[in-house]
Amino acid sequence: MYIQPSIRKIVLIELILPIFLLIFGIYHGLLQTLYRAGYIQASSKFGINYYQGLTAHGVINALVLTTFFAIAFGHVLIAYHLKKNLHVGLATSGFILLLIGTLLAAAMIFTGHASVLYTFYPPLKAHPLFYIGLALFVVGSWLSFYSWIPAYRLWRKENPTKKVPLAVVGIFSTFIVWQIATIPVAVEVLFMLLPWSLGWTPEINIVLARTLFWFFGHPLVYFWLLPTYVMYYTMLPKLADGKLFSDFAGRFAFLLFCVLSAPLGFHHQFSDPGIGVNWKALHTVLTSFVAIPSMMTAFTLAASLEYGAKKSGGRGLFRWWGKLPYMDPERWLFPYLFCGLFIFIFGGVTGIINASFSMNNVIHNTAWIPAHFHLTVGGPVFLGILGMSLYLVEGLLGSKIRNKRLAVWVPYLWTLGVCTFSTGLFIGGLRGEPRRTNMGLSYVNAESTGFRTEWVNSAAIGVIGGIIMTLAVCLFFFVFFRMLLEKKDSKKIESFCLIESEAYHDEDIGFVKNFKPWIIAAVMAVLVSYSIPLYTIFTSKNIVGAVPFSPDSPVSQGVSK
Amino acid sequence: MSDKIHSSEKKVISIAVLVSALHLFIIAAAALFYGLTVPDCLDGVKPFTQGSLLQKTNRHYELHLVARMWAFDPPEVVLPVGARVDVFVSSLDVTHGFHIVGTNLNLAVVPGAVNYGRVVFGKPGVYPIVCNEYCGIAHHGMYGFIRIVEGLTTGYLPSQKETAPTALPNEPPLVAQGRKLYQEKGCAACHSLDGNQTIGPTFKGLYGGTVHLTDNSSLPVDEAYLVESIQFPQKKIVKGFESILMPTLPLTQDEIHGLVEFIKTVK
Repeated sequence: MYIQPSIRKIVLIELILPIFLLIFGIYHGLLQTLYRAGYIQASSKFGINYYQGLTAHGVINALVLTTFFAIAFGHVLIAYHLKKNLHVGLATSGFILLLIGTLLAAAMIFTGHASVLYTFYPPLKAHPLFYIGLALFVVGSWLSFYSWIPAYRLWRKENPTKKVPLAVVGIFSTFIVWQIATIPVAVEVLFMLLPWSLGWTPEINIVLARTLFWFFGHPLVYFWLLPTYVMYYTMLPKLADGKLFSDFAGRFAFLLFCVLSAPLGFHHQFSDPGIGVNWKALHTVLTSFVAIPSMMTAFTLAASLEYGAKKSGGRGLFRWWGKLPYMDPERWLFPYLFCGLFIFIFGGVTGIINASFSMNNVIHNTAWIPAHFHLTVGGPVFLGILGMSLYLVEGLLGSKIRNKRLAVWVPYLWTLGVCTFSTGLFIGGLRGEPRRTNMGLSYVNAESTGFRTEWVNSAAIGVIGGIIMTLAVCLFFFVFFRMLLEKKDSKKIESFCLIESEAYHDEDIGFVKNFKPWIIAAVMAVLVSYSIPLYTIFTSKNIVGAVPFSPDSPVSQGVSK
Repeated sequence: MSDKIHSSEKKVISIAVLVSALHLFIIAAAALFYGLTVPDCLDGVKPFTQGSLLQKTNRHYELHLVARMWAFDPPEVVLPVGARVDVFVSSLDVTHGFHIVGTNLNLAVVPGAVNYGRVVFGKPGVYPIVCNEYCGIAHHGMYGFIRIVEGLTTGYLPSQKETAPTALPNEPPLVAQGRKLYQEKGCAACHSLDGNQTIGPTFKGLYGGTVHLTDNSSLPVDEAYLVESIQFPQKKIVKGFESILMPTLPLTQDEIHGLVEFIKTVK
């Protein structure tokens, strides 16, 4: 494929740097399980506090890795499918801001000035540089996205009647979701948290800050998920020797996500005060709509796999499942996508439970929640990122993967690990075990007054899962870093191609051809579901402002009026 | 190749919509007919700073609970079997969680706004109250208990039955300042005055006694030790209290002196 040399460099750094950071991210993940089960009974290990490590784990794995990957993947998809040049100035400045933002946030976290977790709920206060880092990171992601727009416009002009390639629809949808979602969090960081952390404003409205955060927080999960959906729709069928069952289904699903991913953040705030119960109910209804494109996807992908398997000689109602290339080293990417789909069945079902209004009371903020999202962002998203990073870096470096057989084992081992881990946390969560808690010091410590016998075993299952997950990623690191060290061949870069599935049904349906009506619908949905609640919170006389607190001290860092 | 949506796909979309609708119908029915719902927006209730328990009728109680870094006030509530409790929660500092394990009462305690929920205790036993939102370095030590006792006629707060610290009539100003700081700076959250060993060592009888440290040495508690432990809390840790480490507080020399003088009076 042709890709501009400067964009190629940016893409490679955006893919490789997060994999290096992942070493810390995974290490702190494993440590969390050990602290939680009481195998480490301390507030810190090797100079890093539990909550500091938890912050690093969340920020690196869920924010830095995912965003860098989505941008790099998008750059490649646009260059490959539209065969147009990206705007180098925007892509480069976006990349520099992302880098500075990441370094600032990482420096604050590792020096212990931002132990506020990746949700950074005020009035816990981080160093102002942490918030500045976040803001630069978000602006950097916007600029990176804007670098595709001139390429798309030019392509559109030259091909006024052609359908936009499905992968491009997918990645644009991803960043439309991101664009809508990041506006409220940018407002929270720039106009509330930053001036308040600098001491310019004494107090902020915490209910408002939380609402703006979750206005961002839920679409964020679709921003994580959609690049993997692009792989599922445009690559997985081909990897299974098949065709995409329906091109329409892919377009419709992506566009539905544009509309439905934002107006439902209250399902993260069911337990919050200051928000009316009717608004929470409305967001429940909208959340159950967003399950529809995922159910459609499950059907379309199963149908696509069936087509491939039957072409390879698979028979029967179920026996064809045996004909898929589960262990084929030449198609090592297949299990990364396939295992992700399998894990997502459980991630999706538990997600529906979380979003189901009163059911949330049972599991809110318990270990159930991380169990759920390790089966989404830690399942299909993470495996998609690992597999596609390996695939793209090999191709764009002109390198060679030496250990394809080993690469095939990574997703299976990860699936075993993450399912074990989540089983432990699901059980613990249903028994009331809290998330984000250094339990080794209290709840699973037999000498503590807070000791809970029934949380000991579930936390131990979490450790077993954590160890298997770490092993899987170590295998991946071996394959990945060995590939980086191979001799490079520039001819391979030219001949490098993305995997492209053909469509079995290539429907010609007007209402999924144009982004505009969907973007308008998305804005309307957000206005309907958020404007009145936000206005109420903003003007409420019952909500009192809050002064900042350091996570290390119960003494306020600010002056109350 | 075809121009139309395949019939099986239409079926799948219809089934997905129907299943979702049925699911919503069940949730709505649970809310309307069984009262299973989520916290609402409270009108006209301002945040409060003191925990209390009020008995409204025979079995109906109102609990006002304050969350702070890193304790609940009251830390313990004793109630009879069958108690129906309206719980109001408020935070003094950061966002906390409030989950009565074994019940469906699970509230976010957000500073600046009061949250509310109702719970009925049908069975006797000990129900832990767990803070399930990260609230700072000692978050894991933030818990309380609700004890449901059979045969009890009236619920009560054990902490109020014990003697609370009262200012002595002719107390030296330095001791009075220390007593004030003890409340204001949050020492009270972990160090009791009544001999109860909670998160940190009790102040009762501390001065003049002996402490056993984590390195298996023992020390007499004198002024120098108290000053050092306030300034550098992690330096000498008393055995049994290594789980939650005391934070370093920004105190002036005068304030430390006041606190030490106050601790000396707690006998």
